[in-house]
Amino acid sequence: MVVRVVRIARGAARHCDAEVRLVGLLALVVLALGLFGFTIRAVVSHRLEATDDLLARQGRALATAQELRAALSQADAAAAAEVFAPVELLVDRGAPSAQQRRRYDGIKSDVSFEMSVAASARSVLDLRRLDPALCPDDTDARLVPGAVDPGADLGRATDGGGPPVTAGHDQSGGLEPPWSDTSGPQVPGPGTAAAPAGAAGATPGAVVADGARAAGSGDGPAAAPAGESCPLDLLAQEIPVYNGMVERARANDRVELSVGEAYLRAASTMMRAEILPATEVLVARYADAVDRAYRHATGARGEWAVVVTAAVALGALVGAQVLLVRRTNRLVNPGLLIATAAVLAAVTWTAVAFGTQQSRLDAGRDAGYRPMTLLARSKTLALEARVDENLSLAALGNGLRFDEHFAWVARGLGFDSSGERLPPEPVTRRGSLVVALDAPAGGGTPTDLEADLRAWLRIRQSVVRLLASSPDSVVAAAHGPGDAGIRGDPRSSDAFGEAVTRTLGPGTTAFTRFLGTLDVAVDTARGRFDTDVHQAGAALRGLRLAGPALVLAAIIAAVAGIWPRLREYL
Amino acid sequence: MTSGTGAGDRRRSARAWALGAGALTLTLILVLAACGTARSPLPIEAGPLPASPAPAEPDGPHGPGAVGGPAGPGSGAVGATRADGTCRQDGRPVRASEPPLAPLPPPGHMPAGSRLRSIAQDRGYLRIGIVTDAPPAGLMNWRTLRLEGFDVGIARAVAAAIFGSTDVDSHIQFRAVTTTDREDLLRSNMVDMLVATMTITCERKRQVRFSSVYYEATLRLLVRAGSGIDSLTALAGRPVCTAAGGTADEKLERVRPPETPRVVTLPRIADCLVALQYGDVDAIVGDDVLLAGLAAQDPYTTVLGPGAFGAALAAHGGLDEPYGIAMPITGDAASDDAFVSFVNGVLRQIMVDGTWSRLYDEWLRPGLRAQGHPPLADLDRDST
Repeated sequence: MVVRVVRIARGAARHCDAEVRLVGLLALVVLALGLFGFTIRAVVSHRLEATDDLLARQGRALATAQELRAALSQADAAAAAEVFAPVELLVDRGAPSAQQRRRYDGIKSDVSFEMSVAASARSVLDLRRLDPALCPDDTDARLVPGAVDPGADLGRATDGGGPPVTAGHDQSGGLEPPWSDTSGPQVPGPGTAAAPAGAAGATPGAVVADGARAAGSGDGPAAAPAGESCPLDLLAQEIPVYNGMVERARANDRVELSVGEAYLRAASTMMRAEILPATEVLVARYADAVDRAYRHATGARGEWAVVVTAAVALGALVGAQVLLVRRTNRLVNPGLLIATAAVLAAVTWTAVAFGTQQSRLDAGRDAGYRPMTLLARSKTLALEARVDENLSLAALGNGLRFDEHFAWVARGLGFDSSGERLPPEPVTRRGSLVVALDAPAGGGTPTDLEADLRAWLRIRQSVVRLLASSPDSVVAAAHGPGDAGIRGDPRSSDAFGEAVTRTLGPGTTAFTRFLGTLDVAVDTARGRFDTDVHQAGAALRGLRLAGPALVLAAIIAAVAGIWPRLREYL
Repeated sequence: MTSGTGAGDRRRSARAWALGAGALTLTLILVLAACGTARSPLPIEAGPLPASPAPAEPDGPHGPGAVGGPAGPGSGAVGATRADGTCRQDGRPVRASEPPLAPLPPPGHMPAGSRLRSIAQDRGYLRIGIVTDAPPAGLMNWRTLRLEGFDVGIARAVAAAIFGSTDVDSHIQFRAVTTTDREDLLRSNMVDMLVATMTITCERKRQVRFSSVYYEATLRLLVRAGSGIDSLTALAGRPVCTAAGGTADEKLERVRPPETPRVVTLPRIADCLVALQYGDVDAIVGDDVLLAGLAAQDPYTTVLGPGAFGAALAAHGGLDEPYGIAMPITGDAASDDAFVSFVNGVLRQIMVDGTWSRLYDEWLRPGLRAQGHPPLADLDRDST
């Protein structure tokens, strides 16, 4: 085809004057070079933008969403431990005062519930700032009286405000009573709360959900599921309600009213059934965004555009030289030669810059992004397990479900309940922590992570054993086979107290150390990701100016090269 | 690529070759430098865990058969009780049990070959299911890490009759239960007995053995004081909360349609107080003991008198909630009879010797504000 085009062009040229032919040639060369310059500029800009976006927005948003999830999990764990608040200082009952003071100071310095809730609120704000597009700013739709008023949904009678939202609105986040997990947040997204929301169909709480709704005066038919509401709105509404519920629990606990425990259970249900799934939606969303930014930053289409236009530009230059050689018998045209060199330099620079960018991005993914997400998941799982541990102990033998869930979560980390690594199974997913530890690129992951986790799991295992082997314990039946020969052995009459003591004392210490190490590891991984992505962007930054500049130089050189030949005809 | 078709025109062919080679080199450079689009999906292991076999929520659905199974109280309601108040199963009154054993064997000397003997000597402890979040019946005191309450006192008394009164707690394995899983625990033989605010009904008698009555509770309504709700009639169409697996649910179903309240069941009675405090329900239906325990925790609430239910419901002892100690049906009827008989003997003994009254005065009287009388009549009827 090229041959035919050349033939036609030549046929046309034969009818033209020589100067017209030269002008045409010059225009062709300039056009090809211009196209190349334009493409290089566009592609590099696009990639640089995507890389910067990855660094400044998507990566940060993902990290923030993960922090949000971790903060809320931590709040859940702190709230679950609230049951033991009356005894946390009695752990060292017989110890000397100095030791008791140390323990008291330690408890005070623990990451508190308030700090976790405050951190989560801050993360919600940060996300709102980082991603304004996530929740459209149509305040008209959201700020219907009662729509954002938890009282309207949670306790119909408690708010003195107007009637609940009309049917057209979606209850703005659908705050159900916390103990009814029937309609959950229903935020669409990969891997959301399908489990809790779906499994709850048969719970008695279902009645409440419908009940409370129909009870509200002028409440119209049950509103549409809260699918349209954005997770940030949901979180912004539910976190304060959750916080209030835990505070009610604490106030009741402090005056020895057992309804406090019911409040804690309700709060934990709300956290696990509604709030945490909403954060999972956010994490999944920003993980997708990172993936998209990666693809934009390294898109093959841009590469091909550069290759094709570069080929055309070089072809035009070489063709012009060949033609000039045939027409003028001068072997070398310095202008065109310089132009060719400039184009080749631009191509080489592009190739090197793209290569550097891609390898930095790959490194950022393998040594930063993957460990960061895996470790963040591990942290959430560990906190979930900690909640199970506390709830199981507080359930006084009725906590088999929590123990099963604990084992399930520990499995998600890649460990069994006694702290040993599970054998890798080829089909199912592996443990998040195990994958993070085993990753060849994750050399920065501290190795004592595993030891810390093991220490904590071992302490818990010993507590479980203690309870299972002590007849007076309130928890034993849940763990032991029942009346299997525990006979005549010395029985402490305070095995349960010992179990609580062990969980609160060394158990808390080990778990806190594990979390601390994990936090450091997450921060390290995130730092690597940021550094690598930053370097990837830096590799392109020079090219964005230099590429077009080189091409411009090539155009000037080419014009300067052909101009004297053209002048011969003028 | 252009190929030298014109064999005569060497220069053209050379030019085409140069062009092709240049483009090829260029392509190679770029393709080698950057091989395709990089992806960065979230690692599978960093995604959420798949659905757990065990629900994570504290009050999520329980195990199989948690809320009224096929043999649950609701479905068995029809036909289990005759019109005259006797159970269809054995033709005896609801409260009837085995005659109390008298005299009781001295603690530590259980009759050979009996189940008591194997519990006392072979195992060394008694497994008792208890409610731990329903004061004043049963409560975990987190300050002392000890269980306390009326039911707990009864349970300790039974254990003391088997093991002797010193260090009773080291011979009891308490297990917390909720109203929904009580029958299941007995059926699966996880506990030897339940002292867990369990009302004796004919339906339940099909699945478990009951001792004689150790406390005569009655159904009551707890409402917010000053809310204007003074009877069940005022609650027509309003949400009324009760604990899942209890008897109140079924009794409310007997209320005729225009006055029917909307019954909301939650896993525990304490959850009902949370719902009431959030305004999600307008009343709590439950046993007077438990409602007194709730009212003690919320000064804004009040327990309505028996008249609040109306005559129809209250007729023929319709509000009675006789509490009994539940024991498993093991299949060995003689052994079960002996066990129940022993427990009845213990109950009779503590009612006679003042232990019962002491427990009542300690736990129930402050809330109920009335003198308590041990339900000895049923026991004596059984023994005749």
